[in-house]
Amino acid sequence: MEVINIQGTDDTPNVILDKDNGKFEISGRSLPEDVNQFYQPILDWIDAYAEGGPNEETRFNFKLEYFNTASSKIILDILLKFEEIVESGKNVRIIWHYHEEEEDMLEAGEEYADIVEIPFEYEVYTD
Amino acid sequence: MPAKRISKYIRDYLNFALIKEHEKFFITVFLMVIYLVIWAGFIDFMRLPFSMKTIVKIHTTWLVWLVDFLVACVSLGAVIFINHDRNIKNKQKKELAKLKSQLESNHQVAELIRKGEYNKIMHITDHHSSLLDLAKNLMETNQKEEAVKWITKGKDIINEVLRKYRKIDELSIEIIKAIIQYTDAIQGAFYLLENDKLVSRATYAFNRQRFVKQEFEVGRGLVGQVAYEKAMIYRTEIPDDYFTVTSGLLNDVKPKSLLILPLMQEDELQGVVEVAFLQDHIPSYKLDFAEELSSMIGRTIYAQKINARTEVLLKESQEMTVTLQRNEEKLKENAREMMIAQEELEQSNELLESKIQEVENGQKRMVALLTNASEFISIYNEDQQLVFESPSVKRILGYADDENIVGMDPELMTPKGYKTINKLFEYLKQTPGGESVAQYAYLKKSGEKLFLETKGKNLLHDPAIKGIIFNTQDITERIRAEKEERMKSRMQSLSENSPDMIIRINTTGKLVYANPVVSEFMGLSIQEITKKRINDLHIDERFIEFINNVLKEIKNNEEQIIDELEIAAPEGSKIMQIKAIPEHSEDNVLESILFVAHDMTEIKMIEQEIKEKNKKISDSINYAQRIQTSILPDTSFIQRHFPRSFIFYRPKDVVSGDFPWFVKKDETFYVAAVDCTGHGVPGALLSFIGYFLLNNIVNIDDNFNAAKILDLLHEGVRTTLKQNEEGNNGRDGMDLALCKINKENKTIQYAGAHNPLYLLRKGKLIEYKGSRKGIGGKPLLKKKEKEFENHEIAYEEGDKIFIFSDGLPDQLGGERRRKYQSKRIREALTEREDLSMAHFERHFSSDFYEWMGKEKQVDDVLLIGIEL
Repeated sequence: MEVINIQGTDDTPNVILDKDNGKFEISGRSLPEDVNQFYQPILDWIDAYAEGGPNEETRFNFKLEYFNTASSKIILDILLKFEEIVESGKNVRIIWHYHEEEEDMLEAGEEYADIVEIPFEYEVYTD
Repeated sequence: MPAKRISKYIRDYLNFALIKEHEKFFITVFLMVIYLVIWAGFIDFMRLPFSMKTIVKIHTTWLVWLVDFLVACVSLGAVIFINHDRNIKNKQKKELAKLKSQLESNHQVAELIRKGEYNKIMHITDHHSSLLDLAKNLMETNQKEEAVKWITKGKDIINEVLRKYRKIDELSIEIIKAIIQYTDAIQGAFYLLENDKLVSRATYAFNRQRFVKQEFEVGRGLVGQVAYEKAMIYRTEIPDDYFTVTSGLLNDVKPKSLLILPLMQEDELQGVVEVAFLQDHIPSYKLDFAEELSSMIGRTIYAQKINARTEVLLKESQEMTVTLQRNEEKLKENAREMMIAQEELEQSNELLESKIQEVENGQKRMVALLTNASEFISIYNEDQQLVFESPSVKRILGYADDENIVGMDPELMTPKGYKTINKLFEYLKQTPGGESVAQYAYLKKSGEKLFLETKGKNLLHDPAIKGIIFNTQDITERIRAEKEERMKSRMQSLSENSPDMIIRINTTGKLVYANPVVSEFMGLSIQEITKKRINDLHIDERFIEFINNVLKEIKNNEEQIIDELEIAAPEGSKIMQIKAIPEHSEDNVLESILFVAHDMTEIKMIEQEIKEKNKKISDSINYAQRIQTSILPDTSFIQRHFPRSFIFYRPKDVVSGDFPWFVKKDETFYVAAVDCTGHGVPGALLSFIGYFLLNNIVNIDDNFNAAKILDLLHEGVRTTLKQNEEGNNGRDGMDLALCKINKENKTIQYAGAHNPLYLLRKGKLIEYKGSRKGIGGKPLLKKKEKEFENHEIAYEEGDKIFIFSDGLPDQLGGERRRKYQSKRIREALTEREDLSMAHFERHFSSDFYEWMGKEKQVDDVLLIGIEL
């Protein structure tokens, strides 16, 4: 599979999706003008990953400083796709990073963990 | 034993042997007469007749016996007295004889001491006397003196040899000869330490020099052992394999003792001397002498070595001089100086020191010349090992004088350069007398690249050089100049082929260069354009004026100017963007100005088009904003019902995805802060859907509680956006906080899709969290959806409620570019108990802008505060 490596900007996150090296990561800020346009290739990639035989274990890191409401819906979609991978018998872990001063980011992670059947780990970070 | 002693005394003192026969007779007669007279007296006294009978008779009285006894005692006493006298005389005689013999022997000893014949003294006498002790002491002192004298004399002899012979070959044989002769040895050898081996330099046996070569490694054999331990060995048992020299006269005589001593200079081993003796014992003073020789000879050898090295250095410098003669005129003079110095040196060994100084000065001069030369010379042997390199290498290659580098260090060359040099070397090795040049790159210490050119010549056959000589110089500057030249010509071709007009005008206003585009544009040939003043050209006046103005301005401030200008061209009017770049000479004086004119006509047209389109879009959005504002409640509208209330509303763009919603039905008030997904136009479109759905829901029935209203809104959004249909990945929806306020029974119903309600009562904050569920979005097949929770809250007069979208807490900013956070809202609300609604309105507005600073606004911001 090809590697997705998108350099982030002020409005869009860094995205690394690298099956061979087992790197799955979304970090930075997500408030694109058109969320669907930005995330479509990412969703397609995840679909292909799920179909083409995913790794035995996927560790997906979310380290977002900010995401708008529209992005939050997309992140849920991403998680739902990984839930299907879990159902197919592979291991998936979501590592949810949040800044020690931002409880709402932790809460957002907890809400996702409520909705999807994927084990979550919470990693607190500081400046 | 007293019994024995008594018998001895009796024997000594009752010894009648001393009394002669006739004396004994006289004494016996005399005693008899005495007795008779005494007895006659007694008989007479008793008036008895004198006869035998009476004599017996009177002996019945003890008095007579007593008298008899006394008389006998007198005679015995006499005997005792005589014996005693004799004994004394005998004793005196004996002592006299003893004294006499002592006196005689002392006299003899004294006589021998005077003559210094100590050995005889020992034979003379065996009894002890102080005179004999004195003699012994004197003898030892004498022997020591003899030994010291012997050692001193020996040292003088050896010193003389050391002084006399300067060359190590002569010195070694003479030294060993002198040692052997002086110490009565029979044979010996002299070894020098050369390359960690002891090599015999001279062997001498039975008065003749022998030519035997022997070598020992340090630690091997006796000689090696001495060298290793740096201590003398003295042995009286000679190993069977010990090397001996036959004398021819004495057949194969084996020495009985052996002395091997190291030759030392300070702690440094210089060599070893080995001496063998026929005697099976070597007196200790000879050993002492050997010890003394160790450092004496060691020092001399060391000095000799240094002298020899100096001579080698001299030779080397001579050779170097010859080499350098080929390369530099200046060095020739130096070489001559060295030659002269050389000749003088050979004339006199005594002047060696001063000559060395001279040579050193010469070398220093030469080193200075070599160090500061603009090129460096390297000589390699045929194994490509560096034999010599001139010190200038360091400065040329950008290293300090004390750093250890060589001009062809593979580590500091590029792989390509290394290959080149190897090739050059191979070629030279195969071509005696051949010459060839190569270039290679070298890394300076600073990391800069240096380009070097080296001229190699094979002089392996030249006895003075015996190597391949390389003459290397730094050609970086040359290469740079060449590169610059190439760049210039490239620039030239670049400007020749550029679609822009390029003109160079000097400070007097003369055109010195114009590219083909210029001639095309002006309709003049290049020759017509160049060498003319700008004012003499028949072109658009505006262009001439512009150039003159620019010339003036740049002469003043020497800064680049960019400007746009409309010029008439053959195919119509054109907009040109003209860049005027000041050009300076090497001494930083303004020389000319380069004008680059880029045709912007098309770009300008596109820009114009974009501007127009942009205006249309923003006009359209502004219109949309008027429509959105017209339907939304503002602060004054709420204040009609709740005088102390406010709406803080800051859309990110012109139109907004956040909207306040406020409806009054009878005595029930509905208020909501709604946040639609997205912002700008798509957000605004969603906001209309939300707005009308909410209106519809509360119009249907008054009795819906807050949670029910959210349920209906949720369904409504799904239906409206057809999110229930297959294949629609609708993610659009809203988050909101909704309150239904009943003023009559003073209750609030609150329900939230994600967003909370803050209730402030007497400065205390109560937080009601929203449900973890949003409005809208396609249903998740496998998940049972959460319900919206309904909160019933009884309120008191003066309670303040706050509902808001996430735009405020999510705003990035502050010193550390972090989020504003709900916590900051809560802290502001609870800062003091008596804060008014008006204060909060002012505070949140100003605090938001202050926090945001230069950051972008991330989302629409909406905060509604109502005092009940």
